[in-house]
Amino acid sequence: MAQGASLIYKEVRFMNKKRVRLIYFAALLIFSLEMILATKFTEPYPAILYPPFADIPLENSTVLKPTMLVFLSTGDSVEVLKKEIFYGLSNVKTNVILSENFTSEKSFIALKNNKRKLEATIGVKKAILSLESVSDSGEIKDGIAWTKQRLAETVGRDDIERLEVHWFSYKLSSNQEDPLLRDKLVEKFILTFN
Amino acid sequence: MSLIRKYTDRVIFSSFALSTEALGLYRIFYSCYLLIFGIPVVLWLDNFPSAFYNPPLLSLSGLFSNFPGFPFLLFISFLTCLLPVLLLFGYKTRLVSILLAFCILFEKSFAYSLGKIDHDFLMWMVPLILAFSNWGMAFSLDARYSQKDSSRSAQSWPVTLLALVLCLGMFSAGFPKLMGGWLDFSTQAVRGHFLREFYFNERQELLAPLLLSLDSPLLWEVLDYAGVLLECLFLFALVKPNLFRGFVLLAILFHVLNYLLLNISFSDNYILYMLFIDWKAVVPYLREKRVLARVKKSVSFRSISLLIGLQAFFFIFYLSTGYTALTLSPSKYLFEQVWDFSSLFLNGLIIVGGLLIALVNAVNFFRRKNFTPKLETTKST
Repeated sequence: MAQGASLIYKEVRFMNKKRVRLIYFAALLIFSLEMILATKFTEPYPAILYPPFADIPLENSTVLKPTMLVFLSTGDSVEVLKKEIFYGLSNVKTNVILSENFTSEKSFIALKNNKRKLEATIGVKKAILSLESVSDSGEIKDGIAWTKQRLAETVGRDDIERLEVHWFSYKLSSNQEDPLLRDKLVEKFILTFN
Repeated sequence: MSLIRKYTDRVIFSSFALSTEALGLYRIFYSCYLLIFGIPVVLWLDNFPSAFYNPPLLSLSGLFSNFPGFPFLLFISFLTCLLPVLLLFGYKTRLVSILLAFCILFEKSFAYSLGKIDHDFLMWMVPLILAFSNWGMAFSLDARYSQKDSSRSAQSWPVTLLALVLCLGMFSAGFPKLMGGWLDFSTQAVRGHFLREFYFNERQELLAPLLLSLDSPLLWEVLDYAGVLLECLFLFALVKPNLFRGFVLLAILFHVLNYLLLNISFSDNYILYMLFIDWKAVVPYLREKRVLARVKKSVSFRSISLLIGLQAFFFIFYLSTGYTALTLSPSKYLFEQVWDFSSLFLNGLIIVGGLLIALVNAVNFFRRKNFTPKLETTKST
């Protein structure tokens, strides 16, 4: 009887171990898939990944930096700090918000057209999973109104005509006296408030 | 085949075995870390329009078309703020751990829908995985009042799983560097990143200015190699727990260097690093100093009610400040808002504190290891 009980106990332990092994296998599988997704498409979330910093910034390699300029009805222009517009978010975060929404390629004022999707061919059929929400005109209007209001609050003026986000490329030189060289204006993103 | 299975089973089920007391103390450390250094909240998202909503690939927030409304953000933020208190006192530990993990994961999914993903997954992964280690069996209300919990035993496989997660994370950072040419002698990648951080992102504090004058390609190349080797070899250290602990110590030194030179702090990683200290030395030391008895005594419904009240009060205070902060953190509020210190200061305290704990622990471990054979020899003679 006691031996039988022990056998049942061992069986239960075995089942638990089997389940645990499966969890480990799943973790390895998920990690591999996430690595592929991060390399081929974009970084997924949640993910067991750390930032790779795999690139090697060489001398004369360029980096884009945005500058926000507000134009008033009087013709004057004022530079506004990203941190003030985006409620004190860090430099890195505000740069990402600007690059995701204030460029000609990725503009929040354009209707999104499901740019990001996963495609797989199963047999003869093609399956497409959309991974990006579609913004409607109402959201775009809200976004424009929000930007105007934030700019007005920051500058302290109501007569804002437009916002220009200037994307300058910068080069790093070996000159210790002046290591950061503003290279050229790569893009000018203009948001007009009427 | 059975040999491989036996070996992997040994690594998974017994290599990182911890006592119930060690797990209980670690649960207290984890909860205190969140309560002191910051519980993520998402009320600040209410300030942003849905036009900027850009959920990460495969995230939970991808199921929504825009940011949730204020009542939902308020609810999930408040719940996330209260759960660490329940976890601290070990009340319904398993359920609370899983709930806390999902709350943080849910919050982060929305927080990263502005485009930038931070790599702080350990914050939610630790409670999610350790929920199955029975870390609520000591110094907890569960242990005091629940009959069911006293029959459970400490499980070590979740600890090994967390070690594996850390190794995989490190590998995900090291492997692309290896493939990207970091080991090429003609390029100095760390120098390139250092200069980029220094001039473009204006990370010019602490020891960063000193490194500007370092013009030795050999030294920079050594740093390139050290980074890649540490991140890639971490995975292989998993086979020996003490070797893994050595790698954790190296990782802590690596983060200290990153902090001092690049002004980048991965302070949230310390949450997990502390799980791998030598608890066999810590638990008896704390018992001898009667700390364990005092901790056990302080676990009561009265203390939990008091702390929940305090936390609720602090949350209401946070609401009154306009809720722009990304975390509910008394220490951040004190250091950054009241005393006007840079955010680097508090992160520095965590990093240096973690380094000190790890170093003291390592020294103790080697002293113990050196003394043990002598004692055995004395016994045998």
